[in-house]
Parts: sequence; structure tokens; C-alpha cells
Amino acid sequence: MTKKSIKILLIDDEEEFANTLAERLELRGYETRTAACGEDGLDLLSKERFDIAVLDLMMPGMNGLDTLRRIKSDAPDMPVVLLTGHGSTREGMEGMRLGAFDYLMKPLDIKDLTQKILSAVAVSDGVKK
Amino acid sequence: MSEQDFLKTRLFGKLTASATHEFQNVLAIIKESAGLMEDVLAFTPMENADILEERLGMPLATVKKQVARGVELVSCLNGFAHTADQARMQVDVVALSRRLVLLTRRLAANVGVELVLEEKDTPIYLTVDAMQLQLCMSCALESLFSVLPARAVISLVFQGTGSLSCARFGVAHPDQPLPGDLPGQLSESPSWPVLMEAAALIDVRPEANDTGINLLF
Repeated sequence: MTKKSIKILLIDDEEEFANTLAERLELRGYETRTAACGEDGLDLLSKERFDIAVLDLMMPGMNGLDTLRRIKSDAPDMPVVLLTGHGSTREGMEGMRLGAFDYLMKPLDIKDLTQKILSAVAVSDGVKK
Repeated sequence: MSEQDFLKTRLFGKLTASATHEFQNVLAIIKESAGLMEDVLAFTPMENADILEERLGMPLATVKKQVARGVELVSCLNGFAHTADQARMQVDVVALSRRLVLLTRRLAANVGVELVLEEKDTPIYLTVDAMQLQLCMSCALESLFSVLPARAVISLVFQGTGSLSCARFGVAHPDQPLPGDLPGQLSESPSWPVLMEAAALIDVRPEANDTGINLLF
């Protein structure tokens, strides 16, 4: 799968962060939708096809780990990359134990994120085949 | 530590950790916004693109550099705040000291002193009241700040493999001798009795000598 056809679901309650990051991903050729909370993300996931989810761990309401559990329950093959704050590596490791592909710390480097996205989608495609 | 003292410390830590998380989000938004400006310059065909890149390149690089500086500080403050989570916890003394040194650097600079931490490849774990340990280390530094001349260098070195046996605050000066009777001056500094009292609570023995302070575990 080329990056042109990768569709990303970005779930983060910091809307300015999510919208800016989505625009940067779009400029790099990724189709990106944003959701401001776990519930909205799961709703989008039930209506549209996505290749990967990028999920913030620290969100009010349904937190990132709960959202991850629901994603892995509803769409077990969906790769998920987590976003954590510095100093929250424990939550990131817990997320990987729950099936996340990997985690990155915010503020992130967009190159690191796009590399993780490509790797996660490649691994996911390999598993599906 | 009394129950009330622990609850006060934990509240301070909890609110500080929460605020640092918000700061990280603020810095993340600033970084992405600067990144988007770079992207627009790079991806959008426009006249005079070279001039724009030249004019905006430096301020955008400054924004990113300062965000990185802010992230480092906020991450240290977040880690420091979480040391108040429990009355006793297992800590990596090297990581804990790295944070403390970074957070204390401004105080050291105020008296013209430089702080250096000897990095170790492997962690040194200790199960301790982490806040009490940091109080001891901070008092040791304050004692040294009060007696050392400007441009002195304090090097923090750890001895022990696997578990910690000594935290050594060694001092040196590039172009003048250390104060005479350093142990005497240190023991008369206002922070010394605080250090002795704080150290006794976690079975640490402070020792002042001609080249600095040792905390013996």
C-alpha cells in the first residue's frame, strides 16, 4: 500500500493539535480524519474504512487505553499508534501490551510518525495476506 | 513523613504533573504549527519562495529549538512531580538526579556555579522516599552553593553497581583553589543541619570533606 492510499483516523482531544497534524499529514499525501474523543473516533470507525488509527492516550471521558480496547475489540486488525506525553512511557507500554503497534511521545517529529504509520500498515497488510 | 505531610506533597505532585501534561500539549501545538508553516513554504509553489524561506527559516528554527528546550524542562518537572506519588518507591537514582540537576541549573547559575552529572550506562535502583532523597541532594547542593566561588564546578558521581553506595558531589575550580577548611564552611552553612535531619530519615550519612560532599548509603 502506498501512502497515497493510506487513510488515518487521528483521535486527540486537543483539536488544534489534531487539525494541524492532520493538515501536515494531508500535505504528505495521507487521507486523514480527526475525532476529538474516543466515542467520536469509534463512531467514525464504525462508518468508514481506515487503515490505521493514531490515538492520544490522555483524553478526558473515554481515555486512550479504553478507546484502544474498544478498537481492538471492534477491529482487531486495525493497527494503532499511540501518542503519549513525555514521562508516560508506562502507559505507552501498557498500550502495546493491549495490542498497539507502537507509541510516540508528544511533541512528536512528523517524520517519526509517518515512518511508524508506514511500518504499522505494512505489518498489518502482511498479516492480512 | 506524617500522613498529612504525605498528602500535601502528593497534592503538589499531582497538580504539577497535571499542569506539565497541559504544557506538553501547548508545546506540541506550537511545534506542529511551526511545522505546518515550514510545510506550507516547502509544498506550496509561490513566487519569491527562496526569500520567504530565508526570512522565515531562522525564526521557525528558533521556535523548534525553544520547544525542545521547553519539552526537556517540562518532562523533568513531570518526572519530579511523579516522585511524590508514593511514600516509598523504586527509583533509578541516575534518572532522578538528571532531572534534579536540570531543574536546579538555574539556581546554580544564579551563584555562578556549573552542575555536571556523570552519566551511567546502567541504572542504579534504590527503594526510598524519593522526595526525601531529593531533599537531601538539594540541601547538599545548596550547602555547596553557599560556600563556593563563582565558576566552580560541581560534579555529581554515583558509586555502586546495582545498588547505590555513595552519591558524591565533587567540586573543582578552573583557576583558583577551593575555599580553605571546606568541611568546616559546609557544616556551618544554613542548609547543613537541614541536610543532616533529612538524611537521617532515610538512613543516609552526609560527609563533608576537602573536595565536596558525599552522601553515603
